[in-house]
Amino acid sequence: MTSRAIALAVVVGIARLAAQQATFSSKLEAIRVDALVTDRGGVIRGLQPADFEVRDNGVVQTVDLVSFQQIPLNVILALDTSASVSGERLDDLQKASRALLGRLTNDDKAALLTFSHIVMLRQRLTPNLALVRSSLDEVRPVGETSLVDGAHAATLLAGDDGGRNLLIVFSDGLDTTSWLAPERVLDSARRADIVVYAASSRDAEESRFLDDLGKLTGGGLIKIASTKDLSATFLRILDEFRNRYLLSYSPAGVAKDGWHRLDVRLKNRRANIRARAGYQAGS
Amino acid sequence: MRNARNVSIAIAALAVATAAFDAGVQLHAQNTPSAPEKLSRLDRLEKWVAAVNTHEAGTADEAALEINQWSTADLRSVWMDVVSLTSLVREPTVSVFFPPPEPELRLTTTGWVTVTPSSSSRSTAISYSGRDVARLRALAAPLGSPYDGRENALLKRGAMLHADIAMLAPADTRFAVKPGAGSKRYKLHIDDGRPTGIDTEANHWDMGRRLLERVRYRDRRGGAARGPAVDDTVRLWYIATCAHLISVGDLDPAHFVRATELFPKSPDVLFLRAVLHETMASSRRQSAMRKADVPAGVTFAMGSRGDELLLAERFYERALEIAPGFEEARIRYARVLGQRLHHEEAVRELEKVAGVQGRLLQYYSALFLGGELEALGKDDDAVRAYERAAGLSPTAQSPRLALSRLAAGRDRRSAREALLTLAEQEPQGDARDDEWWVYDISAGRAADVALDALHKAIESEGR
Repeated sequence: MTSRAIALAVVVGIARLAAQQATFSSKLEAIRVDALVTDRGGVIRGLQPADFEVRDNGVVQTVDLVSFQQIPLNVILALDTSASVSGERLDDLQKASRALLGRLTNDDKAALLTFSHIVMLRQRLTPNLALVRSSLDEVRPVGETSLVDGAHAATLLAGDDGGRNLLIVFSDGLDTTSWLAPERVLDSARRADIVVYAASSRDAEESRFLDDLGKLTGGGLIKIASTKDLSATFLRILDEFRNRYLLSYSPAGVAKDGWHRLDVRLKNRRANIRARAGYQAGS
Repeated sequence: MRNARNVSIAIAALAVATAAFDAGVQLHAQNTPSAPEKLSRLDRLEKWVAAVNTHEAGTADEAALEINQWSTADLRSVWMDVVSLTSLVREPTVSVFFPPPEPELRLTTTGWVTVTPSSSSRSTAISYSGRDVARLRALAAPLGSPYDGRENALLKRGAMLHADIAMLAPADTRFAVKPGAGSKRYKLHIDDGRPTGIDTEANHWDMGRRLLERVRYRDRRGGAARGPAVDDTVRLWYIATCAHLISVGDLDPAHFVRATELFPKSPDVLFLRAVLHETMASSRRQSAMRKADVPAGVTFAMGSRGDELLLAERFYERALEIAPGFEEARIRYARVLGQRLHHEEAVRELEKVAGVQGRLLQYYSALFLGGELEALGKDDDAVRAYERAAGLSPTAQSPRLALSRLAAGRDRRSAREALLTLAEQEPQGDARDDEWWVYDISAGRAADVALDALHKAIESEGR
């Protein structure tokens, strides 16, 4: 089988798994775990299913699928466009977003959601990146900040087409107008098949929600000193995400519902692995 | 209803420094090249009395615009002279006048209270010349005999004039002094949870309060004179102005504290005081205050989120004890209970107002009930409450966000579509308004009605 055929088979397989995951039911579905594997800052490549040990609530699982880089991305941009993001900050944000869109491939999709106090879906997931760029140009900063509301709405944009869902959230504002409670949105994020990276210029206390969201989904929070750093930050996030493994396994020997704690490690070598902390099965 | 986007958010504070007005005198002399016409003390008082007598309540007329330019020192001077004037009306034989004690907001073990130093701490007498006293007597003459009440009318009309200046006159022409110079009113401006600056201005709210403190009625049974707490126009003045301050997001604790001290049994006053504390507890104000570069010697009367919520709860409780049918107070009380993690109590309170009238209160009630039920894990009930809220406010995103979150574990596709279809709509005009965004200021939405009632009451006082 050629490498192209392998990639296609993986995509089809993941699409099937994702479709199963879209509606939780009493049966246990295949679980996807997006994992970044590094050693001394460098990505470890060439790993196979047998190299991974995945524990689901402490029970070792059989990893039956590992993919690396081949699967198209669904990149969702959730950008703070409150009044505090005006002038150069907005220019920097638009520039960073365009830079990121420029690095996507023809197979990738992107979506754009902005939030001030208003959550505004400007472009659903589309392979037509020109539409996203065009929507980006129309953004005007106004109002207050509903970060938690915006983050929640953005997680709903995750595709169920088998692509790997990456949500990038940028905010430099304190949440002042969200209705949703952070802890409940975090709880929902556990259920979503999405990795969240956030970029924020707020201090540690005020970025706690984004930090928690990143950790919970296997992504992370990147603190930036200035929006001038945003382009480099967005590209770094994309590079890192492309270099992640997508593992899948069919849970065995574990409860059919509730919170499942995940522990991912390599069997025969030490490495730093960043993956989602767990998943919520059933409802 | 005012939109959150257009609201100037501010928190006002009193300087702790007791010589605030005096410091203003110095700065006025040094830093005001285009200072208004220099007037003698009694000239200024006469001008003030004339302005009060010609001022149309509810307008920024010529009289208001002129006095808007007076300094803190000018206002203090007028205040002392008005006190002298009223003393002369009530005790026509008086010939020595002392500066009145100046009220201050102080933090005590029981919370923030207005403290007025006792008479014994008064300093030397005001040095009026014989000609000045004669002019004072001439001004007092039209005010009638002792306790006719006409001096009270002057005080109340004066308070109305200064309230109108604070509400309607352009702030950029108001006499201001730089932070740290001792002005009595420091204002922290906030945008999106960030402090955007502190400025100072001549405190017309404080002037209004000080004037009303001098309202007196003779006790017909020979007891001590009764003060402003027995005057219904004064009560209306506080209700209308507190509601206005809430409606524009200008939180001045001294104003609300004095209102509740004077009218501790007024459910409206108690309600507005509770709203003040509930608003002070919000993340946007707490965060801004933490980050603000507050000048030395200035204290903003704002506690931690927990402290402010507790105060809000207590004042809502007091309002509801007096007026159990005060539905808006109960809805907000429930919201505060929920914020303090008393979710079951919050649900019980909200269930008591299930039949509340008016779409706005119905919306808040349904939205908050959804939130409390969600916190209790009663998702099916929460969905029903949120669906009701969504029906009451079809363009509001908050209930739809909540519904999409509650459905996310079950049917992501339909939950996603319900929210995202709304989120795709351009926010033009009122098309995407959500009253949740203006919750803080919506409690002051009756300000205009209250001000109309106040204007009528003031006009009925006569000139």
